[in-house]
Amino acid sequence: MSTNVTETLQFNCTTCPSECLLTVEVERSADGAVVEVRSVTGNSCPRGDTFAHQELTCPMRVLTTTVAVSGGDEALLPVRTAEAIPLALHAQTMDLIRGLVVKAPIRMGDVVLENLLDTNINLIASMDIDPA
Amino acid sequence: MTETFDIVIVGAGITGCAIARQLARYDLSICVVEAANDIALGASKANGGLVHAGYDPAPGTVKAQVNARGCELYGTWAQELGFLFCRTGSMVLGFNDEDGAQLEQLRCNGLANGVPELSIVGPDRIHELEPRASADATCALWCPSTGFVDPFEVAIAALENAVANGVTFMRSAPVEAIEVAPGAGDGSGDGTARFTLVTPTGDVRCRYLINAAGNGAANISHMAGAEEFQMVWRQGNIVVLDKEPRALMPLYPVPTPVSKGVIVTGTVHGNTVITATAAVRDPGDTQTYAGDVNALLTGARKLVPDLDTRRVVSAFAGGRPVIQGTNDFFIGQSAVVPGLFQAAGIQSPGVASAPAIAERMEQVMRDAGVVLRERDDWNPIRRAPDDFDRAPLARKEELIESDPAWGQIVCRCETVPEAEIVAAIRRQPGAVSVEGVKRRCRAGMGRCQSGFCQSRVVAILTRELGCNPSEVLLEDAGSWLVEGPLKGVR
Amino acid sequence: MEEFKSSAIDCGVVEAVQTQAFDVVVIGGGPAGMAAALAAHKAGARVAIVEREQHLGGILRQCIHPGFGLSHFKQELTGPEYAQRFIDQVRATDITLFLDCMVIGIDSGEPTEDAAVHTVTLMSPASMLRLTGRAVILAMGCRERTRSEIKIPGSRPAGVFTAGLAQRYINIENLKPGSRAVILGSGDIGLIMARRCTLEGISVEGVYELMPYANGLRRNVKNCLDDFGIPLHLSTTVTRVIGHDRVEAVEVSRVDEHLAPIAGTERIVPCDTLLLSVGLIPENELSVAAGVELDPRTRGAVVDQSLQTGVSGIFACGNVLHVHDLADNVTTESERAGAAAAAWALDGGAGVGATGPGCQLTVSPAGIAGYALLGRITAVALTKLNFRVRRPVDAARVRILAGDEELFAGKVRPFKPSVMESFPLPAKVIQRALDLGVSEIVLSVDPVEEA
Repeated sequence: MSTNVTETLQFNCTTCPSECLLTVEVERSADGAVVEVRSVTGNSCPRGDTFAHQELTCPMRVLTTTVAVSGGDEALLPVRTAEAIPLALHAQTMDLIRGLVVKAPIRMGDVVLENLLDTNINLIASMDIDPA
Repeated sequence: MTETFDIVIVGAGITGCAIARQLARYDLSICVVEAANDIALGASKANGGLVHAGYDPAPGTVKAQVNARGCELYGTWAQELGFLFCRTGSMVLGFNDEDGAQLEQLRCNGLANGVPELSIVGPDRIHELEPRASADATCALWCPSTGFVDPFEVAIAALENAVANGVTFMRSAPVEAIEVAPGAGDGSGDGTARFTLVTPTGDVRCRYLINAAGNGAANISHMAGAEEFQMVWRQGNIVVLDKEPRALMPLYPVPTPVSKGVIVTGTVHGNTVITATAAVRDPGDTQTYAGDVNALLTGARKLVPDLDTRRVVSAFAGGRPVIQGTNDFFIGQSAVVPGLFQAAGIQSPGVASAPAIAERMEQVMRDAGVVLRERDDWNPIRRAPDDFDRAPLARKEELIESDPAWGQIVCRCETVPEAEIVAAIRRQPGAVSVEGVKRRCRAGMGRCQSGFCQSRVVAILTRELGCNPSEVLLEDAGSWLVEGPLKGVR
Repeated sequence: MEEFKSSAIDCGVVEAVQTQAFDVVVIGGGPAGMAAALAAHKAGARVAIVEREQHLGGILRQCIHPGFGLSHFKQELTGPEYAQRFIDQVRATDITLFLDCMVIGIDSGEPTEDAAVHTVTLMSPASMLRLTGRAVILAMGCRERTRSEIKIPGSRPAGVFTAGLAQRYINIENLKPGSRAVILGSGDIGLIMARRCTLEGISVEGVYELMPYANGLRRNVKNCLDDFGIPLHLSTTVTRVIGHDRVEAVEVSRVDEHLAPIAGTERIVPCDTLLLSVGLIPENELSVAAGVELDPRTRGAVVDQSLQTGVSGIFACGNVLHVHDLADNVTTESERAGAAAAAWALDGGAGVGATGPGCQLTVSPAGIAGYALLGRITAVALTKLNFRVRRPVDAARVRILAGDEELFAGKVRPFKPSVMESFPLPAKVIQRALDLGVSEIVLSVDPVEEA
């Protein structure tokens, strides 16, 4: 019979510039999966607690990158996911947009790709690009 | 097809370029063959730019004969070829009585070598001549004829002038073999080419061959079946500091048997150069070493205590082409293979001597019976390209009016506009690399070391050379800067 | 006969260079310049921005990562988004823009009274121009420290890039600077480039840091390295670049407590690219030429409470003044400079900081404080001082000293070099220093023994 192990992790909360150093006690099953986040300390606000739980189950990050532009006064458009998406999807997203080309003009906030990888989150333009 | 010339010069360093320029006035077909893809990529590149006056070489040596004369010729060469030359004078600083005795020895050397106006001066005069010279200096050899140049500019200007007068420049053509046809090789025969040089860019044939191959000179001589000698790679590290409001006068320590020691000098662009260490290292080693750089900075502070040695803009290294067993230049016709002329072992003071080496080579060839008939269309003048940063306001305004690309500043540290970069690429012979652009117009030479402008220079080279960014080189073959596009491709 | 030096020819006949008059001329259209210009405009000044690129936004255009705006906009934005918000605001005003223009000099004329007008000479692809203004705001930003400045020995092949140049190739030019990179320096730019390279298919062999601690923000260590399993090697530096034409490898060595490489610890790391993130230096060549005195510690101007430099009417803000770690702080500082410059231009300086002849204090750093900004205090008022510590400490306190007397002692807390600290100096402390008759106060950060 397998036994769960409890380990203590330390990482910084990245929700705000305070960057509280969190100490997290987590119980894992034998295959490493998180069974329970037992305790979170070191946070100076409740967001730290939420962050720690999310981080241990499915870390979420905003992905920022670029896509090629045609007919613009810049070669590349900086883009971002409108919200954080699972970190695990970042590499796949990069592959998806490598060949993508968008036409200028573009305005900040314009949707470049809708519902990225069924996350319900859009890839949006980070900046205006004027025609060449 | 194999092209045939009267003369082929191997090596487009400052020596080869100066010789090409000197001989271009005669009715001869000349080709300069260079292993690298640009001018002055060997010893001429890693050089402090000092035009030493000539008090250093032992009297009677070839060096002694060409150094002072070369220094003298620089005035005319600078005027005719439109390169910057500052004749500031220099001081060798002595810090004790022993140094004083050595300075007197140097002065006597100098007099024997024909160096003008040498004198020993005391602390007051030292301070007057260079207020930043160490207050600990008790005596100095004051030498008014010393100066400095930008060594690449000299080589480039000389070859541009030679090319404008009909000389052919063949780059990226390392000589792989030399075939020598039997015969007297004195030019008195039927005029057929005696030498065939095999290069990957194509073969060239010639009646007379001039070996100005710098650190490759021993190899060229060997390939031609001429004198056998060995090159020693006497490596030197050099440091360039950021610009000062006023360029420093060259200050030397008392020399050692193998080198002039760590010298501090201003440059024609107002930077400070600390030059050079001397250590025998593996041939081709152009690495800088922490110990060398520290020795330079320490040595420099001894001469100029207030020098801000944190403001290093660049550090680099090169090898002086020294012939093993002699400290002298080897300039003359080969005793083994007539028709081959050697300009080998041109180590320090090679830059200072270059115009006189060219002059001497001309005489050697004349003495060997080479017919030198002056052309009536020879033009000694090379018009310098417009230097935007140095141009007066009125000229700047005029340039911008002539072409908006003069108002588009690409290199902010050295104030180099796009038009100046384009001109550097389009001149003959023009720049084919990012460093080639830098040597011609200083884009990327400043304190940010091309951090802001490199990508723009790459874009201009891409456009002008009609290539992809991934084909743009930093310097010579293999020095690619970027790979292809990241986005918009599958 | 041809002329020898075309560049030396003075053609004589040249039309008078066109001149345009403003109240405030802002040099630089990055985050500092835009915030300063907007604040000056809001205060009623006629404002011009001179920017050398064809777009406003400065370096933020290539900082495509998030982490901006948390304090200023209360939401996390990317660099371009942060810039775009300011660009939109500037575009909505009548601030005059001189894009693609490079300033080549600032002339301050005769320093008669405080009515001096500054003349800014600039180049544009159309012509030379002169802009006049009673106030000039320096907002030129900073540049990256180069390989030569940190004296990395070895050969000089292609493939050694400052992190910012590599960032420009990747994020602006759509070019890949290499395939296999080593990054020297764990400042924020180095960390962010580690992630950026990884996402773009450039493998990052490791980030090497001379100091025994990471120099960047914790969030960047976590999100840029930990997320991708990129190793961070502390107390290790690059001791040799290897490769004749293109980088083939670098040699790295461990360093001792004096930061000197330890012989015998050398290791060769194969790579084709070396990225350097080894510090930023304010770009003050223009300032120095205009007569502005610099602080050797910040390498930015010595300024007073209104962010005015030693040259009356010339103000400085953003990374040209001192290197910031957050754009939001640049914005806040620049808004102050913009408002003060407008006040100077419009009221002849009457409203600037209520300068009294009796108040002249210099501020110096001590302890582990690497610098103290402002360098000069000329008014008795609540004053924001900025400083950065030279090494991380778990427990230290800020103290304000005047001669032997301690005027103020802050609470004990940790400090990190990666964080630019802000400290409000109460007016009564300044008054106390004046009462003591001192000419200098000292901002000292002193580690304390933990109980």
